[in-house]
Amino acid sequence: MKTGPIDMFMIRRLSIPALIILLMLASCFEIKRVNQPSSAMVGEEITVTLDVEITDDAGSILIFGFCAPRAWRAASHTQVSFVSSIGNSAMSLIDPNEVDPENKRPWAVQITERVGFGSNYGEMEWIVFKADNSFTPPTSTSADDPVTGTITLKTKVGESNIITQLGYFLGEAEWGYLNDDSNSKFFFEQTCLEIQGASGQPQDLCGPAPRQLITPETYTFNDLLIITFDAKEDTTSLIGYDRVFMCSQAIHLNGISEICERSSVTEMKRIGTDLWQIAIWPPSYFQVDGESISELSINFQDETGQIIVRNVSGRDFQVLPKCF
Amino acid sequence: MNIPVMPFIMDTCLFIRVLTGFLVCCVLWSSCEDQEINIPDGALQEHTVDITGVWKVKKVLLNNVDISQIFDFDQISLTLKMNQMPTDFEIETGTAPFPVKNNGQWEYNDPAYPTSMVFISDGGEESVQFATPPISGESFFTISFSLGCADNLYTYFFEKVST
Repeated sequence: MKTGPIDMFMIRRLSIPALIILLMLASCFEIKRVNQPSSAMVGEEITVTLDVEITDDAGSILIFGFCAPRAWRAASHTQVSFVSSIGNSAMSLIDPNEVDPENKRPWAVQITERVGFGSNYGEMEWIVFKADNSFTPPTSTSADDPVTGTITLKTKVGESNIITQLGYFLGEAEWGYLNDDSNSKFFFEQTCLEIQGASGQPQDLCGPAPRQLITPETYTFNDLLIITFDAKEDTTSLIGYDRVFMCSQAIHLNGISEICERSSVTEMKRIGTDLWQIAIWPPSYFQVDGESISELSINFQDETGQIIVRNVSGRDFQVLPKCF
Repeated sequence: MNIPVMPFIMDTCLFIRVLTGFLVCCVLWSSCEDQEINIPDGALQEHTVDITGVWKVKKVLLNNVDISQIFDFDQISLTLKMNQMPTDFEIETGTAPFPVKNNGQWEYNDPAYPTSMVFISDGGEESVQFATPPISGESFFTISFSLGCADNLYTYFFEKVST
């Protein structure tokens, strides 16, 4: 659509106040620096500090969100506190039913919807903390004269190898989570954190989302696992084959158990065109206690074993317990 | 000639009223008398639900989805024994999932109105819920339990194959 001279004039007239409003609504939080380790060992407690600034005097109750893998159950293993130029306080897990004044919805739900999980493909959660003490910034607070502070987070990482991008959120409980995002700030650490030390390859939440291989949606290795392989997904070399077999390894406390022979035990059932399925109960399939299994590695083969389908990165499909 | 009709009619009505009242009182009186109720011996005694026999799995739901055709649950055979009260059980599972793998003893949480049964074996106990209350003499019963993640509910429909 063409814009005439009058329209352009009107747009300019409208855009000047809009620009002024935008400047007025500039975020009242600034995250100046995040100190986060780039790696840690399984089960280790890590410490993260965030240097922050508050640039206006609206609101007095700090909200802090932490985006972590669900497998860490970080709500039970995380402590948060802050020191600032106007006061210090511990922070406590917010009541999951507490809603913000602006949208009348729980904080974690809103942050999940509006901020997301950064580069992680999923399996993350936002855990929200609220300051135990409130401090009102002085009326002179501005970008040139900010309130400064440091938030310290200590959390115990999970027991499995994982690569994940951690995220942080700042907000204010008195005014709530304003819809124009003018009183909130989020930050995802660019470098993904790698947790090492357990057996097996790491689950890379920062990488592409893996295939949906397993039903039910959540499971441990004591559950019946229904494994479905769609040969058409990613255009695998098993498209059009008449028989498909599953080769699998279980990594457990006593070592590795592999079942890779092509037999009736490993043969998958055709449930559609290029769609194959097999159900296994790991304790009987691998003859080990399901609780001792930390990971399954799976690939799919033709009856000669010459054609092998692994994930797009060339490694076996990784199956980790998912019971959150 | 004047006949005194009215006094005659009045007397008759009074008589009928008195008679009716008397009969009502008799009925009420007799209904208030204690009546002996004969209760057969043992009629009020609670009986333990009897599900003895050899049972096979006929249908399995996982989170309310029928997975009977996805896995060979026919491998499971459960023998429940009772001597008035539950005693021993024998289990064969093959490769199929079940809360216990080895023989042992079993019991109800409540012998007359059970809502769950407990398998005791290998030094441990596994409690499973009856999905519907079991009934003595019926040829089926249904149990529900979790095996791994508590989100997942397995429902096994057992059918009696022999006593």
